[in-house]
Amino acid sequence: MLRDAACRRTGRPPAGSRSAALSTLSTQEARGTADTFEEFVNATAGRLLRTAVFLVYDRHLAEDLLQVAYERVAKRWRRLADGDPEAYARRVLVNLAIDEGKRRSRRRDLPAGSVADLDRIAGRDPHQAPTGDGELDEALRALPAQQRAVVVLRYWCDLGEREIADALGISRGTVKSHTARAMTALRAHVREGRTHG
Amino acid sequence: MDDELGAALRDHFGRAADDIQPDAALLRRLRETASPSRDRAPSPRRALSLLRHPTATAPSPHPSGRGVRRRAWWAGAGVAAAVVLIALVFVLRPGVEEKTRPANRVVPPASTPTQPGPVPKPIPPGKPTSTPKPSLHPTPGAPTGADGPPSARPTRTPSMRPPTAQPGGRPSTGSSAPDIPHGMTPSSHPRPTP
Repeated sequence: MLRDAACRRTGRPPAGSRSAALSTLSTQEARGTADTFEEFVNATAGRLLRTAVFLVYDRHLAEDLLQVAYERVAKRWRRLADGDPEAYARRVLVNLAIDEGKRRSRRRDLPAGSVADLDRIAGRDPHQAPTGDGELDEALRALPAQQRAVVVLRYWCDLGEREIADALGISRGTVKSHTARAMTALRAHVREGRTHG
Repeated sequence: MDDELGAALRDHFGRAADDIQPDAALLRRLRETASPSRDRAPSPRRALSLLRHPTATAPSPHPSGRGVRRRAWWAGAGVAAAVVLIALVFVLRPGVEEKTRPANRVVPPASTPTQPGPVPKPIPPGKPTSTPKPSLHPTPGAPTGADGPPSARPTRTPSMRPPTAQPGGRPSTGSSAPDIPHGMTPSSHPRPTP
């Protein structure tokens, strides 16, 4: 696994690049906040893109949602720069993904992607073993958008119940119930797959 | 079981994450989100939506389309507001003059000071002059004084009673109507002095 593959990281650049950034602080101030935002994008794009892909299971849609999230961060960059812009971007991303999931559930004709599609997009051998667990992959795709968001935030971003509740704008009890239902559905799906497999 | 499933989920996400890397084009696109939207490369979905509306992508004939259009709109609105204001001023002004004119009009005295007779009371300034002016030529049938025109404003005598109500509910103006001088109300009908 890559070093920055984990979802939950600080939005600041690593220590090495930070010293370099401090050395060019006067240049950045002269050019405005664009460079600082660019650093933020460089540091967080990979993590947030993975989160987006796990949330919507569609690479192109994930990129679009990520761009919208970065646009909203850029609009509020002056206020967010002192806080945690990555948490804000993740919150925007999750809510966009949930809205998109609801929209797609209303329109059944829209295609739904998968993490396995990434192999096909990347031009890999389709007969090669899938990157993820196929059963879990299907089970996650079958979950409702909000339950899937809770699972992703909990097991990929390692967020606690309170942080998930803040990110989704719901109560902790709702987070617990969503988690319990999602885990029940995933367990049943995996058990069914093992039985049939 | 939950711990086992949670560990499986973490492992699943970790393995899938290895293959999800942002490419250079995406990074460039994301970095440019902070720049003005005019210079930004549209995302595929936006490009599709723009293709559906070809007018949205059509270049403006003017060099700086949006700003010029906005400025022209505001200029037009300002001119329209000014025209409406001037029109209101021109429409309302004569009406105001007409209203104020009768109050400022000076009423000439009813009779010259050389003529005998009661002098009309001076009209206080600003009071509307709605009182009937006595005419120098008496109407036929009207009572006239011995040596002059009738008094413009006869003094009320104790014999002048207000009109009594008839059983029918109407005031008794009845047959005395032709005797009323021109411009005088029946209630102020002066009786000829013997």
